[in-house]
Amino acid sequence: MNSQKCDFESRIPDYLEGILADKDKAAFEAHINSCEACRIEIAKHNKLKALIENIEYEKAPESLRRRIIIEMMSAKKPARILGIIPPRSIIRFAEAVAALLILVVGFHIYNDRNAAAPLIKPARKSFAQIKMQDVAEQKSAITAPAPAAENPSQADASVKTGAKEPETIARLKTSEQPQETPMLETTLREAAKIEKTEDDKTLFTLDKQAIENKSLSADKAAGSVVKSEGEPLPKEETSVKDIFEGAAKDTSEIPHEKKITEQSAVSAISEADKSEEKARQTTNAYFSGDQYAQVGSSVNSKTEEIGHELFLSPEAKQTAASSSEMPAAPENDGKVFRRDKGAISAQAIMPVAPTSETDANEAAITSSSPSSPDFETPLKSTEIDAPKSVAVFSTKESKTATAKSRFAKNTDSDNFLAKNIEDKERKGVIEETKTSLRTNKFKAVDEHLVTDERRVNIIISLKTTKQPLLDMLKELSEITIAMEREEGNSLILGFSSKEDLLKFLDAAVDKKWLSEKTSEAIGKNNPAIKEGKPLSLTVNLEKTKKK
Amino acid sequence: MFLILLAGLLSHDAEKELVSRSKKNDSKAMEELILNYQDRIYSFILRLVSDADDAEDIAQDVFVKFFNTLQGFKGECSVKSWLFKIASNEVKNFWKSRAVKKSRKTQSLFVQSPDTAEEEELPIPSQAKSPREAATETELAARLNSAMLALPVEFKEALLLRFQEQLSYEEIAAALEINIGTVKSRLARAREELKKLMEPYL
Repeated sequence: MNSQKCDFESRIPDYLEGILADKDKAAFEAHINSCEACRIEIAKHNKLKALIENIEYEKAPESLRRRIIIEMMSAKKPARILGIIPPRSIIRFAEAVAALLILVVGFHIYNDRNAAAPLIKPARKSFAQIKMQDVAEQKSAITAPAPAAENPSQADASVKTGAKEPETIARLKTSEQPQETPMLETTLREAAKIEKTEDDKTLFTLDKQAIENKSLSADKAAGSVVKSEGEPLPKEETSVKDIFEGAAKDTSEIPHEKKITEQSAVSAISEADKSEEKARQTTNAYFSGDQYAQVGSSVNSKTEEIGHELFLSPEAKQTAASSSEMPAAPENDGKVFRRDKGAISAQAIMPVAPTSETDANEAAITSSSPSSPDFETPLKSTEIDAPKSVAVFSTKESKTATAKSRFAKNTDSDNFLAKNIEDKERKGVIEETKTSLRTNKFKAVDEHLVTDERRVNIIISLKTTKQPLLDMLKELSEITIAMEREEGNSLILGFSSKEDLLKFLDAAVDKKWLSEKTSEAIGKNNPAIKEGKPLSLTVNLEKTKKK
Repeated sequence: MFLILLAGLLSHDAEKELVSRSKKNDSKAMEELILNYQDRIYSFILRLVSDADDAEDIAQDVFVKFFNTLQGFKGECSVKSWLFKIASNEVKNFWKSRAVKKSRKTQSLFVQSPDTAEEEELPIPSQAKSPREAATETELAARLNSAMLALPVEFKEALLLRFQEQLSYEEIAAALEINIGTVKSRLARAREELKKLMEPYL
């Protein structure tokens, strides 16, 4: 072996890899032919090359293939299943949808719980009003002559719309008024609305013939509205019975406790007939030509006898409503207006009958509707009598007509209120009315506004404070009680039935907050309470002692 | 076994057919491709990283990446060169990550400078044995393996791709993403370094 180093030896790798320039390559090739050492080096390189080429492959582990396949399958599986749409997009979309669903469902659950959770369930509001509007729309075009009624009282209840004054719309609405919207507020609001929107030429006329036929009594019961706009009235008759039938049909979907049946309407007609006569005898009201009056469910008066065209006020509406057992028409209903051509006489009755038989030291029962907070007229039972007195104001129980007011033309109604109110017993309540009227700038008013026969309001005093009462209400979960509002130490509760009221009273007796005698007097033996009539209970509570 | 033998004899058309089926997620075709190249790739990686577990992990990544990028494989090069290109990149990434985790003075392409490489103590075959005694076939292979381990990665991969895998300069250039001249010079330097290491046994 030649151990001698050659200068060309370092060029051997370049020569073997072919990177020598042509000139260098030729010189190197010429050299190796004569240099044995270089030839030996080249042989070593070739041997190394052969060694590398003969290197055996290392056997890959058996797990490698399995791992690769598993990795590939797991990575590609979603794409194979879902096809075109990338799986991540679908997942993100599904997440977004799920989040949205959770939000929506959560919102509804939250709302439902808020609606159901309150200890004292609020009274329903919209049902009656909505239904009333539906019925009114359906009946607004009733013009056909009425067939003879089977029932005499119904036969009297036919509406004839032909008269001197024009009439354009006749409405029928049959539903019980919403509890949370007392008639007083409703009437005032409606009248105020009319005062704003209607011009002086738009008048509402009560048909003379209808008055004679006492149809307005039925109209009150059915809640019809006769509206005139200064055009001649067509002489047409409308059967109230038909109206009732139609209304009963229309209200067939109304829950039982909300329905006004034909029977109750008919009975209301007869009651209205009686009260109508009393009304004519007891109250006269005069209204200015600019003042539009709103009449409640029914007003019965004969304008031709008085010689004036009659403006029937909301007070008269209330009066008429108070004279009937029929729940009064809702807020948008029962409006009868007439053009004023001079002194107007409206006759109405406000029967007030203190019942001396009841325990005068325990509770007070009135037929007035609780005032609305909007009108800032809280119930002032103490002004009627001492907090522990009893006074029942009920149409059927009334013995005398006690209110009479007279309003001069174009004068301030507030002054007339003060001058003409003769019923001292109701002075406090009337003062409330005055307050509310001032608040709403409504002038046409008499004391009858404070009456509302639609519900019986019972005022009691319980020997307890607010919290125990609320706890008791919690326990009385089987009955429906609506807490209408809280005024000072008083809670105004609404009951949908007499049974619920009696349960409440029994519970109060059990807790010795109320005597059994009083409980029976204002509950079980209370003639003012009738089935189907809404009840409100003003509970005067003891003051909570501050620690 | 039959599959392995068959895979080793895969013609260009057969390989094309396997690639086509693999693009359609045919697991059988994919498996055949794996069988055909897994030993080569694994061995190549093992010689570069010198650790069986690391080699297996890297080999798995190579094949997974290969199948994932198969849709973009247009057939401009062979599957083998494509696979070695991926393997070379994966090994580089491996050493990069390893260099960050642990400084390695030896065998790292990215840490080792030419000067320091010369100063490093290379695994010289024991002088106790005469070259003649060690110059058996098995011994030479063992010595070669040891010498190969001492070579820089870039030299090793060039030598392996050139002599073991019989890739052309163009294919090596494509696989290593270098130009052909660099391949040749790198091979020349690799030869020279290896010959120095193997000198006592040649």
